Amino acid sequence: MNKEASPARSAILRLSNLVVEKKGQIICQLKSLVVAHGSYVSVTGPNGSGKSTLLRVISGLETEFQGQFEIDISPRDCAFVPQDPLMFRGSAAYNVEYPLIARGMPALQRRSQVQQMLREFGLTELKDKNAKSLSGGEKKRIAFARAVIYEPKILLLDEPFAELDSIATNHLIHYLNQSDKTVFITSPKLDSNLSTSAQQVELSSHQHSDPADQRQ
Amino acid sequence: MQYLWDGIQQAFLQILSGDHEVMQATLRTIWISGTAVLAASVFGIPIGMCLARTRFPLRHTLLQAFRIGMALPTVFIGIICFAMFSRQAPLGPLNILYTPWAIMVGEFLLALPIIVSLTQGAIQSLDRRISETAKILGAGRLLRWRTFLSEARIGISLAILTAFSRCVTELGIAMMVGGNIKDRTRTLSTATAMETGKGEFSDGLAMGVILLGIAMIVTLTIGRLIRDDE
Repeated sequence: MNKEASPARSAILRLSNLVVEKKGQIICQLKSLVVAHGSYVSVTGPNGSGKSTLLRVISGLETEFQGQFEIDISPRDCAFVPQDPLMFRGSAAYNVEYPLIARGMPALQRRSQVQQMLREFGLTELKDKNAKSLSGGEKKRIAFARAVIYEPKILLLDEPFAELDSIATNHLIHYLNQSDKTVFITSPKLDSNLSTSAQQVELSSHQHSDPADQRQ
Repeated sequence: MQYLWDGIQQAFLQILSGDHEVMQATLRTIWISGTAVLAASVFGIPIGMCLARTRFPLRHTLLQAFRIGMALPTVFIGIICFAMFSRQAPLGPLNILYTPWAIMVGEFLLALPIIVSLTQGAIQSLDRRISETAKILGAGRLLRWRTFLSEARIGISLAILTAFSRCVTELGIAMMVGGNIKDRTRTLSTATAMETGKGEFSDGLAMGVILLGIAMIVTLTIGRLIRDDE
């Protein structure tokens, strides 16, 4: 990856004093983060440090948190590919088509766009397969095609290289290098696939915020 | 044991010979129960989805009421319908007592709680990520609900099947508000009860075998649809 964060570009996202708590336990905590349009952000940290939760906050799926959070785009311009993406009932092609159906695109235009996207990601042979019966890696590739087909401005990828073979990994890196999107990628440690010039966000594991603990 | 064998033979003879009374009762049973279940599905599936996906005051009470409704004895529903449709009752002017329409209303009341409760259960037990994935991919309310319907299709099909089986085989409502009138309101279940009461055990059993056949055909058809889909 050879994208670089440029301070000259305007911020797409600002976040400060973020705390997400579940059942009295802090599951994600981040002091401050400012991300410029088109930059690439690598989110690292041990298991349970809140990497996925941070992506859920940015995507708008997690709405219960403390702190300030501003984002310069509509939630519809944000794409999130979780670690274990869910496939809807139907073919792989239907799953890739789904966001275009949601945006009311005419059927003919949708089909041609889906064909093109499947070709681009080398997924043509999977198009008529039942999406629920695909392997973990295949699901991830379909989920990625499904996420980028509607040209989102922010791409949130939760451990995207896990379960992918080297060809699929190269496809993904090639796509990300060519795109001008703001990309967040989580991984337990800095991935060898990733550039050292990317903006780094390191999360650490958290302590209980039980009021009883705080009184002691 | 001979009675049983005679009854089965009689059932096949009556079906193959196209016995007018049996065919009429069979078609009437399918028509009445099918319409009642169709109407209950049109209302019950959206109500079940609302109960599963939205939160509002009295939701829990409503849900409990529908669950209790699943266990209502058909005779009790029959009495309520009789009280509603008899001449002096609020719906008396409709003049539908002892017509197939009265049985249809009763069976609608029998099917509705089953479809609502089982649809609610099917939607409620869906993977939480379905809603999140649809939302993040930009699906509006209508597409999200279409997605829930599609994902819960097996549970909803079983809800409709259960309601249909209950309606086709029920006796209390058909007897109370239908009156078992020949060529007007006689259904397979009332005919079965009548023939057995007259001592025509094999005729009664023949009707029972036809009822069983309808239940089997519906079950196998829905089972096939679900399997093809998987």
